[in-house]
Amino acid sequence: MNPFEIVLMALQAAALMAVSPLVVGIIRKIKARMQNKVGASVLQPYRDLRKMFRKESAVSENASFLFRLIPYVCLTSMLLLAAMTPFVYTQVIAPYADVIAMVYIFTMFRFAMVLGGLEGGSAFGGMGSSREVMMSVLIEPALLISIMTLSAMTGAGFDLSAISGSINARGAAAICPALLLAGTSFVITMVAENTRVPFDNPDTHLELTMVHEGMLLEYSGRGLAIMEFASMVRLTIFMALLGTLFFPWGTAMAMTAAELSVSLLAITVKMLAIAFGIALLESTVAKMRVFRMPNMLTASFALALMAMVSLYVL
Amino acid sequence: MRLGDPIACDPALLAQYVKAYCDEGWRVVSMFASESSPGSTVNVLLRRGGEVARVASETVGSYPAVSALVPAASVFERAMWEMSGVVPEGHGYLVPAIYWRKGDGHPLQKAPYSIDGEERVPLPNNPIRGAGLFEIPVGPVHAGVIEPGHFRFSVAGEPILEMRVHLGYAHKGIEKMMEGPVSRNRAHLAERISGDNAVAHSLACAHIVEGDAPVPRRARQIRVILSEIERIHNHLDVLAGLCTDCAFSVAAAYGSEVRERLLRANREIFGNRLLMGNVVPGGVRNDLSREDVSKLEAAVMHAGFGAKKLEGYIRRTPSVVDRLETTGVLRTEDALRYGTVGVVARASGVASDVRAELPYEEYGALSFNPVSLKKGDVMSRAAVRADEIVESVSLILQCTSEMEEGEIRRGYETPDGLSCGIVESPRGELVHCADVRDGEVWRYSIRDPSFVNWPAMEVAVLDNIVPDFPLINKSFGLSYSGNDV
Amino acid sequence: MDVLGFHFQDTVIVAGFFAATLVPALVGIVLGAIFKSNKVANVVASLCIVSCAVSVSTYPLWHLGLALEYTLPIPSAIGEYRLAIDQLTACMISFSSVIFMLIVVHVVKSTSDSGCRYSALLNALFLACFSCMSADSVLVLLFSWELVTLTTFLLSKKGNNDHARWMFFAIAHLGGMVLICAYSFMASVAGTQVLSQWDGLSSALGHWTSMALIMAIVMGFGTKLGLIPFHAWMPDLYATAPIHTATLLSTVCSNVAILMVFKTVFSYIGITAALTPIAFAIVIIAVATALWGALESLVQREPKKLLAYSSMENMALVVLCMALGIIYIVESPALAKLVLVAGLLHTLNHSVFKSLMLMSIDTVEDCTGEKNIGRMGGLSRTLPALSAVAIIGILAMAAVPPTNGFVSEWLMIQSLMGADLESKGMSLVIPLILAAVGICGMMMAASYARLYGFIFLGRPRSEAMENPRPMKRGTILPLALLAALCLGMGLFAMTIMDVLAASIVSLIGMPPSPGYRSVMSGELLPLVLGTAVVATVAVLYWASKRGAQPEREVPTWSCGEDLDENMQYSSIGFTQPLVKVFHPFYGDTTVVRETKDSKVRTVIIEFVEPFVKYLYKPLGALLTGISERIGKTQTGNIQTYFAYVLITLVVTLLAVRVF
Repeated sequence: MNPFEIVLMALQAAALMAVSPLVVGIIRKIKARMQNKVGASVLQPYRDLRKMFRKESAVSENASFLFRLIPYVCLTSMLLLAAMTPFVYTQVIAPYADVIAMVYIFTMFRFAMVLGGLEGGSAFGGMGSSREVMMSVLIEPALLISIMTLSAMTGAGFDLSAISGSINARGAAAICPALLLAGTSFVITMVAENTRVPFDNPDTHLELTMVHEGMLLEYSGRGLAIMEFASMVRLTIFMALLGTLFFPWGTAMAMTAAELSVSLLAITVKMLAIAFGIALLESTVAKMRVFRMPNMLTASFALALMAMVSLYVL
Repeated sequence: MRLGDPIACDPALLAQYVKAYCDEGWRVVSMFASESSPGSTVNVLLRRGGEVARVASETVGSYPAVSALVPAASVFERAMWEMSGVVPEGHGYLVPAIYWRKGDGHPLQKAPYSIDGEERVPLPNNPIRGAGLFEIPVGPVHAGVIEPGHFRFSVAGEPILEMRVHLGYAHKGIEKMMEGPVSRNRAHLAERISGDNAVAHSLACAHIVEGDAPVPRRARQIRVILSEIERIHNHLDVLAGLCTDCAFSVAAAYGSEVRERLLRANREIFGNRLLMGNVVPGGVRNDLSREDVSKLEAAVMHAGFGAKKLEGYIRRTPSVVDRLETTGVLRTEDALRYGTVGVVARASGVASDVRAELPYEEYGALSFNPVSLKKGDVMSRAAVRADEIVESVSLILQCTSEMEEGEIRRGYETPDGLSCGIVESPRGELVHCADVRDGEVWRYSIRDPSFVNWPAMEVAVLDNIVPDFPLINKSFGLSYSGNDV
Repeated sequence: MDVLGFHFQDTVIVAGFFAATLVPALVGIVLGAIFKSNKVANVVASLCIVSCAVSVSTYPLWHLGLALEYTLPIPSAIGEYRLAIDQLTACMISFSSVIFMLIVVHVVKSTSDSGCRYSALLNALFLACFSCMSADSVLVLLFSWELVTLTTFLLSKKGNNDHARWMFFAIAHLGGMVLICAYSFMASVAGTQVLSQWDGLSSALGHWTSMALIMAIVMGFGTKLGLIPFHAWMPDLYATAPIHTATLLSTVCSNVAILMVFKTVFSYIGITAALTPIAFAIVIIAVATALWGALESLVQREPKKLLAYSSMENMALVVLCMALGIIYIVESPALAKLVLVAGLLHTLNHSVFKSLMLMSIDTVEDCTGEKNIGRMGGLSRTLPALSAVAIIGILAMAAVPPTNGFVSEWLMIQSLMGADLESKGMSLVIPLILAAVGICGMMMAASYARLYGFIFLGRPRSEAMENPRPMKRGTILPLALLAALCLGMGLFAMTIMDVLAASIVSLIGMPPSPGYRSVMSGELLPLVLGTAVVATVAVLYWASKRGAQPEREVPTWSCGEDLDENMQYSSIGFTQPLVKVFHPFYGDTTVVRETKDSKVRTVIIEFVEPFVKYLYKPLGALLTGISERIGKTQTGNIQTYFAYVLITLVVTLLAVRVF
């Protein structure tokens, strides 16, 4: 690994985090256009984050040291994940780029959020946490199995870069029922994990229906900015994983200017397409009833399982 | 409408009297206490179709609660107890209903009442206990631009085991302000009771002030038009709100846009987005030019088509239908038990519509089909609203197609005695009552449809899950300000 | 061997070691039996600590190459009382001794379970565990295992908890009986009582018999581990017994059981390809147990019961690993090593975080006098030190990096995902197991979030929570050490794993290569990821504190009205959505009764353990009926039961010897 490569890999992790507010801004913009509204600038999330980051924090008098630590735990977990997500270049900087560790880092993020929701001692935080754990119990197995499918399909072990590279190297031949089924399962997982419509409404602050926002309710100022930013990064990481693990074509495997520029173009197109897909989904379906979510998540789980089975049956 | 002499009864027998009426198919539409010496007169207004009756009873201090026999009286008795100091004995849930403050004396009594030294009545815990149960307090400050109200849920997880509505944050004291010389224009004040139902309130007030003097036909037609436009924009608001609450953003944006266009047309034609200041005692303030009429027809047609399209969005999207159907069911027996009115009642199989039963203005001369559905869920209430918009468009077009030329205002004289104004506001049957003594309004009672529908919502939400509450609340579409008068 | 310049015979050192381990404990028993005063109780406990401290040196001594074998100088008509310690045993003994020692330190400091009798029994339990783990003859093994049951039974007396104790005793004894039969049978087939000479009995036994024996061994020891349906004693006993008894049962005793299962299955019986089917049966039991533990933990109201179900789930995962080891061992030995390492590592990890959590929870109950999680809350502000160690334990239990719990679960998932799925049957089974493990993991995480969130976070839900008594002096010390172990074992897991892998290789007699590392990815991961997590959080926190506006303390957001103590999420409500999702598994255990009076309704939500309700209660009623008809066999006297056990044991062994 030459120094230039290391710099590039570090850059790609930084870029992933840097563009995440933009990704959210683009999704919001597309949604606004679909609603016949002008919509805020795609840069608005950056402005919001800057504003919140500078503001004073109002912390609940019931909160403990954990409450103040949790935003940093969340951001850390996203930093670690960003460092292990192939984005423009297949290789990643993290020496721990292990798909199972990835799932556990997501768990760490979620666990921290859930505890944060319980800190304030109000009914709303607990409500968000309670719904979050219900969803996560069903999300986690689906995520594990869809990743296991990839790992088994490529025979590349648990290394994120290797899996991405292996599918990429096979070209169109890699497209098989297993990949498509696992990809579909992953999409549902992505929507659920990031608490988007139809699982949760990211735009609402309506007290009684919140999941993600409920857990963040007691945060303000800098803590809120960090939590919001971490959530944006989480969405971007999922989108990037979808683009580089399940449909990795175009991602640069070698360190050449040509491949890198193609890859840059490819990832931009992929991210825009996924953003458009999310916006379209959020505009055309309503938020589900809370107790419909398990059905949807079970469907995601079944898809992942079918992917796994199809790998050996077909 | 002038009310004749009451059926006077002993306070001890009041409950039995009202019960006897209700057994005959009458419904309590309003109850209020009017101070008399030495105590107060409890007036119970009952209606059966086009007939209105009044039972009155002189009480001193306390009387056996009517609600023990007729549950629909419960909320009225709470208000009488709170505002006029009449104590219903044996009332099951005696907490304030509209003001939630305790001072020296009672606000609606004639003795001077000072708000200095008032104390807020602490909100009671819900009447339910159990290990693992907890309360979710929501409001009065909400995440959104809605009216202030406090909802308290008792839950052990998601299903709602008990819910109570505590309002009173928007109390304005309008009933008290209404008292005074009869010559004063009260319609203007009545519009402020609940801004989105300005026409209905001012109309009900005008009916009292005008006595039984006839209003010019053109004015009556314009009053119908105003009432129906008000109905359309209220219903559109609820339909769009339902879409917002289930995160169906495109339809929500569309519904809001349709409503906004109608409101802008209102401002252009009538000078006010919410049609305030148009209904005045004796007629209406603004006449419509031919040009106005055609603009109006276009705007109303657009709103009607928009509503149809919005309904189509809702009905054709399975995820929305799934949210709305079987949610927040108000069963017919509960709808009757709580004396619900308006859309809420009509969606639960109680076909009650003042426009058909007790026609006022031009409604008797117009043809329309009262809408009624059976299921009583959120979807039914949405469907009733969507259908009513279509009916409203039809009513408006019937009026505009044969507008009578001529004057739009006429003189009037307010007679002494007890009279009432009953109109169908967008939310349902709205009742104003006034006791005029010697050219002075002695007691003015306002009963917004929300006032009787709020308690019904406490029943409709039971066994639903907490995140469905906003939808149920929106589908009821009740007024906080109207309740708190 | 030279020690400090003096030359010693190896046998002398070994004898000295055994003497130094056993004698203090024996003296402790005697002292505890004679005296009654509290001062002596501390001496007795200290003797136990001394024994533990000496036995911690087991692994170092083994590492020095000493043959740790010893025959107890007790005359015997039946056989020699042999003790022998191999590498795996040495690991487990050293490790369990550390845990045992920390627990006894906590006993001394907390003074809640002190007393001569209790301390003496602790000594006895230590002896029983030590001799059971190091047993090299059937008699020692069975006798000390029965002694473990008996001492824990005696140790668990507290207040009026006879029902829970007898339930435990009956079930554990049932397991003991199964074990007596199984080991006696094996001894008769092997023709010797000396365990180390049983080398792969499976060929002599035939595979049907071997499978039956494996099942018998797993279920026999499984009664202590809480395998379905033998878990019924756990929640009640954990909740009612003295906390240190519960902790020892959950940690050291479980370690003993797991070690014995591993030794018996992989060494004494030996695994061949023909034995794979029984592994599937064990997998099913283990997965069912894990799921059941996870499901039940969601609805528990007493934190200790929640932890009991958590123990059940964790032990089921270990048994699952063992079963997978049996499946993998023939075709992919490297993967088998990985999964067995994962299982053993999880056993060790479990004993660390579970002892930490059980003792923390007991401290909570001790300081506040409250046992119901529904009435707790807000302790993080009043007991900050306790909440700091507890969060580490919680994170470890929930398998959050960088703690030790994460490493073993990560290994488990790896060994599942890495399974060679070429055989068609496995391709369906493994993903299902993976899903089950995933679901269990997340459900347990939900339970742990609930445990921490509703005890330490939020606002106090009762008077007792607002002003808890301060912790007893020094009790934080063992807890802090255990918390440090949680982190340290997470960061340096690879070192422990190498030791465990070597132990397994020598236990099973596999060729050392390919090693488990050949099928595992991310060798550096525990250390690197752990360090990265800690360092990044620290750096971010530090960096962000600079230039931040001072923060303001405000009341929790309440939408404009005042919050009373009833207005925060309840622990039952927290998991209600999950209960609703999995309602078929809870069946009619949720009873909502509404008593309607005129004004206030009452709602009662009840969760009943179906195994107790539908299996043990009818069974108990049946047995009571029978015994009443037969006569007064059930005197309820400990001595009588003890006599039954001994008589059965001796008669069976004599019978074995005769044949």
